[in-house]
Amino acid sequence: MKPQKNRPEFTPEELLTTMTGGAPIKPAPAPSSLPKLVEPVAKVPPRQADAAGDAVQAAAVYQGACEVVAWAYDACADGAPLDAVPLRAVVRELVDTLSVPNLRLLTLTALDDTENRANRHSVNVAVLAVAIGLRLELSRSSLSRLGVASLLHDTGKVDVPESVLRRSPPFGDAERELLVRHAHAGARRLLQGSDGSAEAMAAALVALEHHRHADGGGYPALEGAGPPVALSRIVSACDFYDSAVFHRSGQPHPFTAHSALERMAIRGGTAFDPVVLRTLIEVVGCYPPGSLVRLSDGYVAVVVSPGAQDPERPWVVPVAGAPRRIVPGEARDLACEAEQEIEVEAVLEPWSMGVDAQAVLRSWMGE
Amino acid sequence: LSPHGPAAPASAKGAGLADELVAECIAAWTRALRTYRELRTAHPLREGVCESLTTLLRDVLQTHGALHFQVTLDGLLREGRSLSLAGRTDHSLPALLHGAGIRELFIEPSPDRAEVDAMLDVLGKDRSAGLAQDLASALWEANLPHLRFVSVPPVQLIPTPRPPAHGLPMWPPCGVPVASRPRTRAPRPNDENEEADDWTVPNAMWIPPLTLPDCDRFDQVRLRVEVEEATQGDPFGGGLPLISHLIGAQADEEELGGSVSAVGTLITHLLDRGALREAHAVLASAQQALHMHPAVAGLPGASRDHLWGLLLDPQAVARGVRAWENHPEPDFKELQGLIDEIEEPSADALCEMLLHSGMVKLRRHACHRLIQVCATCPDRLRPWLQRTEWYVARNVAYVLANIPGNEAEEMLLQLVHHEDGRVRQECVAALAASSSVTAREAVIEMTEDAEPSLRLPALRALRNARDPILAGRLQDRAKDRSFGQLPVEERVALIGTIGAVGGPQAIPLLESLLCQPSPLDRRESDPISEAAAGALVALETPEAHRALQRAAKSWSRPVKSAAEKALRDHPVPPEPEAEG
Repeated sequence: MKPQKNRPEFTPEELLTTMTGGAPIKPAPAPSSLPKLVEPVAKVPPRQADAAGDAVQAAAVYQGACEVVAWAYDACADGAPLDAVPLRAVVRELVDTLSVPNLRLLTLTALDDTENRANRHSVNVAVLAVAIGLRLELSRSSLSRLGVASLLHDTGKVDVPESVLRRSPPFGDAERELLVRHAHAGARRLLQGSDGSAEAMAAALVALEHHRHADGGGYPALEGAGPPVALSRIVSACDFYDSAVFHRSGQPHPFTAHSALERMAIRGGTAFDPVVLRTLIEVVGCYPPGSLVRLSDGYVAVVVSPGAQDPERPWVVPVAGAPRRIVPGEARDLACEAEQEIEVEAVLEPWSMGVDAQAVLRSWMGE
Repeated sequence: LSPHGPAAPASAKGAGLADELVAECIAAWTRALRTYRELRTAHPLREGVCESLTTLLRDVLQTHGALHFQVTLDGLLREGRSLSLAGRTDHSLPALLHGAGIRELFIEPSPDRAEVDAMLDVLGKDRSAGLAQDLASALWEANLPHLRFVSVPPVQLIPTPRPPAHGLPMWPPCGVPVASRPRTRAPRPNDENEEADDWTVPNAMWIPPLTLPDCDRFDQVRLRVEVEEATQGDPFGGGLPLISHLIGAQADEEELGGSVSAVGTLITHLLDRGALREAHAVLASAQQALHMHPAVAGLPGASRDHLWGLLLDPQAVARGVRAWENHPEPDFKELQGLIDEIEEPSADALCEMLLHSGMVKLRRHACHRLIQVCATCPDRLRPWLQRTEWYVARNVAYVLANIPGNEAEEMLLQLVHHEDGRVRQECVAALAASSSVTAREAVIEMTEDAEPSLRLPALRALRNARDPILAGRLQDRAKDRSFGQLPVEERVALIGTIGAVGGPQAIPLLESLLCQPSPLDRRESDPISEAAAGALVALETPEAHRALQRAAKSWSRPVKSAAEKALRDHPVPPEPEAEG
């Protein structure tokens, strides 16, 4: 079944006027220098990514995860014991969904929702971390620990006043100190509320370390401690990525997903574990969902899903075309044989182009 | 649902027969579970049960294809029909699965023996204690290729009652829509050559391609190994370093207290679940971090005690010991490790163990550790002297008695007036054994105390060394007229002590006491005579032996009997060699 048609709010001519001032689109000289990956992203046979129930199933899993995270944060804020059973169940569902593979779950991580942002952030980090874990072929018990730790990594935020959390940067010293203390606070709360299970312990450690850098920098400074453990390094990368994309990293302006990855790649080896970063890119693709790209056939398209086989060849929905070309509005799988000639030529900033990539993503998800 | 296809449709009669067979298979499964629950891991019977269940499952799956069950509270449904399990099983399997939130179960053809063994192992594990996972998670993590299940949505697993809604912290909102946000960014490399650039898209919108980190699949494998090694087989999921990080990173005392309290809560959880090994590991890690913390070294004693009090709750230790004792196969090494880890500020935890456990081995080890930790500060045990339970006081007395030096003397002197005789006896024995002159004087005074219950243990406790002065005082008392009015038990004790501490000077007195009964006394025995005979033996001198031999020729039956018994039971002491 084909995905739903997407009709952008603007005409191709309007968009092109904004982009080029009416000049014709020419082939770009600088293709992506991304080397080919050693192995395909998924080991399972290629699967039609537009299965009818995928979007519904992914949305249900995502929504359930958000509710469980909300409950877990409530429990931590109240100092109540934290039962890991629902959290483990969420991770089971995430793993099972991503293993199918149902990559719409990754699309959901690109959707913004200001009303439910804290919970969505935690779930996004969990989805990305679990996807990385699957890519690394971790055992299920390790995936469970990684997933629960990702869901709970920001527990310490319940100790930060809402006024500080709602404030935009730059922060004062006191506010910064409060934000920095959330790592300790989270670890403490998780220890106090934990049932002593392996998941809870790993989650507390990750909550403490998720802002530490791969080279031992970052915060909190832990004297005598080596680099953060592997689980923390994975969550740290996912946390930064999601925060950067949704303007949560303390930066004055949001990044495109591609820019966030680029920025992380520059700091790979110091702030981020290069292996984790590489795996994250393999998972979300070189052009993550929500990216606006220009294709070699002249179309401008929104990436709606990473490719199951090749991270350089995602699923896209064209939103604008060359002059006198019709914008089909249907999703295209750049990995399929018919599209083999098509390349992604450039990445654009959606807000600069006036493109509402979120609307395209929502349409793709059937919302 | 199954790559091997659904179960073949059957006629009504055929379906009935198939259901019978499947029900029998479920019954065998339940019986196997019981076997796995009750028998230890390497038991040969488990292997047999596993083998037969594997064969049965294989037969059923080959005959009827993949099995799909709906799990309800009342039992299992197959293709909408309830399987009749009554009379075959105790219904434990459906209840077990339903309680774990599992609502549908799929079994594909055909699991091998190892898989069935793993499945039974997971299902048969006792999850009421320790750090065992919930069943659904454990079954999922076991990754059984032929067994799948559908569980209730995670939201339904949230424990009820749900906590009151709390204002969730929200991240700073974006504020203005993204599309209308003014765009500012760092200059791009091609900004200066925008005119010359061949890009159709304006250069300001160009984003350079990604520069990927230089690593490959082998690095990913290394990362996987790192994760697995840190988490596999580790009950903390690799999270134990957290304890030292959390404590070590706190600069001020208040923050440190908060972290220690959090770790203490974790230890309490672990103890409550009977996970002593894990509690031991966390306690050791926390104490090590506290010892290395620069602020802790400079803290006054009370503050240190407060920190350790936050770390280890004595009541939780008692609960943990009870949970451990109730375990079907308690491992003493787990408890031993925890006991050995307890430090001086947590002495109360050891006392709680002594209070709540009746296991001799445990009590002995706890006492031993208590003696070590209280060696320099026996005052930590002072609060326990106020307890009304006699055995608590006796434990304290035992510990105090074994503390080297005279640190505990004052407390022992206080405890010596305890209302329970067993406690007094312990104290008096400890004081009598003390090298302190004060303590020994105190015990000698106790032999003349108004309280008979104190005199007796004091008399018995003084028998550990020859003391001519004490012997003289005791002989004077024995010659006194009031001696005959003392209770027999006390007279016996006094005579015994004279024998233990005295010398040849006591022989006349003891011989006279031995020969006190008249020749007409027809009793079989006399306790005073027997005590005197025993005391003569204890003198270990030839004169005393000769006195016994003389008494053995007495016409009085009790005297003769006592002397003969003493001679029979003890050999003749050697004659001292003549000088020169």
